[in-house]
Amino acid sequence: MEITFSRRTIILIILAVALLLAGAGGYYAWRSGLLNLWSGTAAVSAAPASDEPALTAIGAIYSPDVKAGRDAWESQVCANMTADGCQLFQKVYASAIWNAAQAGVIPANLSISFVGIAEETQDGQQVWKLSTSSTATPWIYALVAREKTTKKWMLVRLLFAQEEQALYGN
Amino acid sequence: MFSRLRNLLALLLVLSLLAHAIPVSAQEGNPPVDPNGAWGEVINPNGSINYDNLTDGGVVSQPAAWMPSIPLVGPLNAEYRVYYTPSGNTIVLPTATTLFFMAANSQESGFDAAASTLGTSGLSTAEGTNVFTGIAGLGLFFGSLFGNGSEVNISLPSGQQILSGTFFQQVLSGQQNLYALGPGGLFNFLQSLSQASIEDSSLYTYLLLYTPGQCATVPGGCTPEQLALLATPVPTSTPPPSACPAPSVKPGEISAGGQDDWPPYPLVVGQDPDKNGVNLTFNASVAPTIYTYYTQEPIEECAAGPKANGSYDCYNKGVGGHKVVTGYECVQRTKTYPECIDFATGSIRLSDESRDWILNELSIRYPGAYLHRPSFSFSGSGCSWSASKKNVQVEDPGIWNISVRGRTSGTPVSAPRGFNRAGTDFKVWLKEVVIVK
Repeated sequence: MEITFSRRTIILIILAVALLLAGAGGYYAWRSGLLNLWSGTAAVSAAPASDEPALTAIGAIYSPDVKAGRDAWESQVCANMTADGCQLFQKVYASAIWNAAQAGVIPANLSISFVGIAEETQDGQQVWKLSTSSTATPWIYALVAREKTTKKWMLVRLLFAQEEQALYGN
Repeated sequence: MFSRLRNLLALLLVLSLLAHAIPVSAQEGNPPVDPNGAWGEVINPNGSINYDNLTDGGVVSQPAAWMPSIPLVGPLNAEYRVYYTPSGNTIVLPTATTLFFMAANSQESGFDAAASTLGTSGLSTAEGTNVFTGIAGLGLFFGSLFGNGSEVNISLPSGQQILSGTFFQQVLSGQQNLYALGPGGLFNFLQSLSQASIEDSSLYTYLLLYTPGQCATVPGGCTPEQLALLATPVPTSTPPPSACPAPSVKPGEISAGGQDDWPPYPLVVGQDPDKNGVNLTFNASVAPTIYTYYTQEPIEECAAGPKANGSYDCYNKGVGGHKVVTGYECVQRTKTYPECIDFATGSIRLSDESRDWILNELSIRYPGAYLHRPSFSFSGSGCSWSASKKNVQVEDPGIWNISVRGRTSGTPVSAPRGFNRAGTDFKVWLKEVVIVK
């Protein structure tokens, strides 16, 4: 049996296959972040998973459960920080944040999202830029370090407002 | 990991030094405290703190606008230990973290307003004493916390290399931004400070004394005793000056130069049978830098009647009385910091005119004339650098320019400076034979 294709049919088949391949390639590039690399926004494409420990710690810092008590809150925050970061948090940061929470200074239902990597330090740590739902303070920055065994990003500390201004002009 | 280990070692060193200071504060090397002065109520003759004579006001933790601010929260709490003396003065001991930001914001924090201050650590200052006073000494203290000694170089993210003591001195005097340490460096520094600021076992290294009239603005506020003291009329109440003049730094003058010493008429080496060449001397030195600062000192008079506790602490024409502060004066003080020459290079260079003369005029009479070695340089360093170079074999005739360039070492209150100074020109001669027909 002889199957014959017209010239027009062959061109249509080739076009269909090419479109299929282009679509699959585009989908893969979108999923893998290659599109962002190509468009020059690689830093943003490196967005961590929403359950990255550092993001969980930052969320916990800004949503203390006053009823559960300060110890429980500090433990919840520290669970997703580096050991040194936890020490500094407990000694330097915690009092001011806990008092602010009790006084109702911290905005309720605050949402915080990863925006991009503001800086990579020489020792492999990163400074993340994060957006907040607060119009008064739309950006915050956090120093994070990758945990050696789990390869997850842990929070080291939040940058100070004066520090953000000096380093990143925010 | 190594920087963390280094910081830990530095902290252990500081802790071991401070261990001798707590609760005994001033050490043997400290200047003795005047038993009749305001510190006489606080410090024993042997240098320890006289806790029996003080009322413990406890730990005060309060937000302070001059502390760093956490986004969406507000400033960190400033923390102090507060004591009261029998005469009503307040003694404030800030924790290490609070002390740093107090000193870095000395006007807003009330650091400058303290009637008097006293260091309690055994750390050494540039003067070699065992007490650090004022911002200059504190810079060295914080530098030793951060950099495993204030004389250790630290690398800033910008690439700048700087002694840790110099860096923190410059931060406290406003010449440098603390945040130049970068997020990681600041973390290490805060960690070092916080290790020395643990609640009841806080390592307090500095005492600030405030008079009763200042109690409303001092951590812990006013005690009933202080309010009672303030209620009694003061004979001549003079408000304290709002602020003393800002400290100033006068960098020492840099002197540098060079000259040829001998012979009076040096010949080019080709015509110099003894190969004398030319003897040169170079020198560079820098005068000490003067740091001028002011302290607010109370003016006291002896008022009639006993103190609130019924005792007398002064006599006026044989009648017992109590000391009252009638005003304040700004007392100018200076500190002198010697400065060295980090490196210096003395050079001699054949002038452009002579080069032109050799290549364009002399070469007519001596075809093929060229520049043999038109420059020499000699380097060195030292606190007062001088160098002699004998029989430098100059081969090119003409006028030679002498110059000395280099860089100073800087001081705890001033940055290193570059310099380039011209010395005295000299001539190297060429004997010419002219045949006159």
